[in-house]
Amino acid sequence: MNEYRYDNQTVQGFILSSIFWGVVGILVGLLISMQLWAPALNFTPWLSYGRLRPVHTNGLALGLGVGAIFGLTYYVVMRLCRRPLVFPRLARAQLWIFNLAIAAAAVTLMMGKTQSLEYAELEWPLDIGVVVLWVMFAVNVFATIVKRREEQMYVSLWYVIATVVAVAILYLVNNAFIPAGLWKSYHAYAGLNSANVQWWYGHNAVGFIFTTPILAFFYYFLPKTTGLPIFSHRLSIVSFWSLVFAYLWTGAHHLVYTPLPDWIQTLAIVFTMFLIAPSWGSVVNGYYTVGADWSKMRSQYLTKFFVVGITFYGLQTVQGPTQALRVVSQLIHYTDWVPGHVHMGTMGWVTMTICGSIYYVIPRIYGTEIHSEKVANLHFWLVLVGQLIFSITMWITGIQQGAMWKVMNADGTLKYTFMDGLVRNYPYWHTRTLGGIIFTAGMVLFVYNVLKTIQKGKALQASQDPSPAPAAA
Amino acid sequence: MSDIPDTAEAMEAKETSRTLPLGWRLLFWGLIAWGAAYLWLYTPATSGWSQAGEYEKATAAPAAARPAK
Repeated sequence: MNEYRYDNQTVQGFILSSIFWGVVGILVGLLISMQLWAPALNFTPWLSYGRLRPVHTNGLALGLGVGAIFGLTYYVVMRLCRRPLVFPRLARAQLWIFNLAIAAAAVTLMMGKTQSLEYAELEWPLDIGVVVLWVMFAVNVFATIVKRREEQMYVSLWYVIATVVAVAILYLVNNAFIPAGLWKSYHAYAGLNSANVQWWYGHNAVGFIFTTPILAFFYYFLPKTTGLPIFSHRLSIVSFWSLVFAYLWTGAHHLVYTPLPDWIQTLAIVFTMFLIAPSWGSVVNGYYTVGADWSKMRSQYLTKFFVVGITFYGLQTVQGPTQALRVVSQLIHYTDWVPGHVHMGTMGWVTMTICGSIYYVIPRIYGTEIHSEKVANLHFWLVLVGQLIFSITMWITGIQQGAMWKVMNADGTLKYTFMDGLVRNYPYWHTRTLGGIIFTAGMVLFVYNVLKTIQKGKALQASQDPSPAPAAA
Repeated sequence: MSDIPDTAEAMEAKETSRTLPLGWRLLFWGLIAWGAAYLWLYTPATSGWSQAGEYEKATAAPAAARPAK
């Protein structure tokens, strides 16, 4: 057990950092949701919608998402390789650099320094920081897998490897920028090529940050929490390879009905629709796994986090591909439907699965139990209701927006002005803020529960360990 | 919590570990077949379809209805 103590503290450090940036990102999200219907809340340029939106997306994708991915991946890799990290101090250094990088990212974005490509906003000096972090991560993950003490590789390790490799390639290619000063640069590709590379990156960043690592956690923590082994090894592996094969071809579905050549759009749509199969491979595997004993939904409080998480993954991976179809895209693209879609994935699948995983890991680090299952259950229901309110209102208003934009008079002129559509968004935007507040309340309970569990664990550790060993750091 | 050991062997169900459910296999091959057809139908080089052509068709009628300036 002691062999892992130093690494466990690093894991916990990443989890706490992830929670911290998560809180910041969610509060910024609440503010920008209000700025849409109350423009007076744009206090200064630094806190205006245009700058805070990338702070929200980067803060949650890189801060909450990647922070949790670093910590939980290390936890899972150590367990499945049955050994501590090969480079424990490298991981600790990575933790500090990670927090500095996210802080610098937030400040520069608020200053308005941006590469102006979605999810690739960070300017080139910060890109270098991200690359350094990812190399540190890759070195530790690969070294630990190479030196593993368990011969057979469980499916979670495959998803971890895919994450490390794919994100590295995507990030390097799309962040090829030519500097023109410290905080200004130009994309290495021009015009349509820039757009095509950007959405190849933009879509797969979602795939390899919000899908593959989260599936690694799902496949690991579902059997660990329920005590039920994964239904089918073959299904998990076939799904893995077909997902990884198909994903990288799909980005151009973001550019349907643009000057991008028709055949590239069509090819991307085909691969995107195919993704339903590997995605549902994991969904089916999850359901059959819990299907061996559904009473776990009642008896083990974490089961529902994973089952509801994979359910939203299943809905997300049908909704997403159908959005790529031309007939659907022409209605909902550029409307509020899209944030509704994204937030079902991030709030319903990613955050739900990460929270379930953290609820499992934190007590394990101390050999204790969660502070309160009751609070965890309340957290679950609040984030579920908050997310549903968010997604459903955005889908409704997105369809309304798209439909209004398309209505023509007999002579081909547009029936509605942009303002007509905007005004009808307000009731839905109000409701979305309400959903956000409910979701935030749930996340506050989560933070409280985790912190109380750590407090309890530390007290337990101190009582078992009257003469604390000299600090391992 | 009943903990299963961290080995691939213990994490995977024995009797069903090589199962690919029939419904899932149908979905898998069905999407490939659908993809092949869609690729053929919406690639200008194979079917003659193009988004520019679609746009022209959709706007032809309203343009005809518009009074000439």
